[in-house]
Amino acid sequence: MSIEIYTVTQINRLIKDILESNFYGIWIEGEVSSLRYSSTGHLYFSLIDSNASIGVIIYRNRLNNIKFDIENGMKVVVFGSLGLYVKGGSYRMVVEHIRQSGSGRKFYDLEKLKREFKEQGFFDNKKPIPYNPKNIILITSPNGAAVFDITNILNRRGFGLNLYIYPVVVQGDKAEDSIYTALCTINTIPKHSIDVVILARGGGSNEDLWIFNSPKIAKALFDIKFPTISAIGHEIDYTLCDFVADKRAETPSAAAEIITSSKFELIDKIENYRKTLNNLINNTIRLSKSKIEKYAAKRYLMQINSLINNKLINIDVLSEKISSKLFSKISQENLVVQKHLNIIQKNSPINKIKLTSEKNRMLKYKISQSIAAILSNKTNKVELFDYKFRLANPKNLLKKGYTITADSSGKPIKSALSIKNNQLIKTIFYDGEIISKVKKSKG
Amino acid sequence: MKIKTFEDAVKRLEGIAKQLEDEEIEIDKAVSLYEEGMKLVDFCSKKLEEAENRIRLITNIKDGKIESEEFDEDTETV
Repeated sequence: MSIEIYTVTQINRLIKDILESNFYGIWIEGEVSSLRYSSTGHLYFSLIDSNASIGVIIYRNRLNNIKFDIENGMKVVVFGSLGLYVKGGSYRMVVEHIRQSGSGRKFYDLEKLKREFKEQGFFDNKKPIPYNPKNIILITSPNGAAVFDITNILNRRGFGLNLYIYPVVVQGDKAEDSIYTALCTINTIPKHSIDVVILARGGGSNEDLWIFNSPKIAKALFDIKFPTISAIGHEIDYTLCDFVADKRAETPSAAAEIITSSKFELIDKIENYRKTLNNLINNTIRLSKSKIEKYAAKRYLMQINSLINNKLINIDVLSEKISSKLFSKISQENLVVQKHLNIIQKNSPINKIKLTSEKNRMLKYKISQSIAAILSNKTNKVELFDYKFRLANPKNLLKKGYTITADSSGKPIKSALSIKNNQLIKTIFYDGEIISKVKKSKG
Repeated sequence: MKIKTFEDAVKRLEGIAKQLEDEEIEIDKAVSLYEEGMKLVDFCSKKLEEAENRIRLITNIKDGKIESEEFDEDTETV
């Protein structure tokens, strides 16, 4: 068998769990000792009796609710839970309420009473608070803060409510009888007439609220056949009636909210129905449409087809008519156009241009012919001249054996008489010349 | 079925919504249900808007019947 070995942290955590899950909501009576405030504002002291001591802490936020000065040596009853500080392994009483011992007795007795009530089943058999209650009885002082808070919220949030205020005394000697009588009387009303009963009182001191710890009132409240809501004091105040009622509201305002919380939800709900119905009908219509379309599609198509065919035939007929008319019209128009065209063509300057151009061409031809003739004539003449000229060329005579006699400077000598003896003369042949000396002239 | 209260109307609306959810529903029936539903929605909205609260002060309860008078917050009572 193995031995389980804890670490220090483990064992402290374990003890912390055991401690805190078993010792909560407990009362301890003792004498205040070693009172001191920490720098953070929490109050530390020890509760002692003749034999023992226990550490106590009241956190700063709780101190505000304490209406008396706590002093060393003071006899007190504290309410709270045990807590263990894991690091140091020490435990303390974490206090939520503290009373001086005289009143402490009262609280002690109340706790005892609560236990008894619980054991007797007064805290059980809770009736559900109906949804959207219509007929409500409010047991409270008609002049108190509670009635104002509740009516205020009901008027803002509720609708169609019947709120019956049962006026009672909530403070002083007459309060217990007043409330008790109210509860008993209300219980004579038939069950279906009322949906919920609220027992309410505004905030006050513990003494002010103490009447709601009355076992007589609590039992009468338990006996009420209607669902009940207790709305007494503030969040921190718990009375016997709170435990007995079918529902505890933290404050009178909260009670009003509990029974009217439905209005806004209802508005939403109704608007949602509007949307849902719209969606559903649209869906149904869509489905039906698609069904109809499916079944009717063929028939519809056939109808459409025959319709189209008829139209097509009509179109053909029409188109034929149109085209024949159009054709004849066009032919007529064509004739007119052709006529005009002929006239235009007849009178067209192109013809004149053509004619003129032909004349020009002929003229040009004639001129060129004349010129050619003239030229040819001239050419012939030139050739003739050339021929004659060539025949006249003295060089040609020289070839035939004639010679030309010239003086030494080349000037022809036309007469033998001009030649003197011993004169040098030049005789020109066709292929050269000679120079000779005249021996004797016979001229 | 004649709807008189808001609660009855809401109940009927729930029923109508359920019936409309059926995809096999006939279109005529769907449309008439839708119309009825819309009337109920209007009825409920109107109720929510219009219904005023009545705040009464109980003067007596006799034989299980409440006798009451108008409650005036400013009146000093008891």
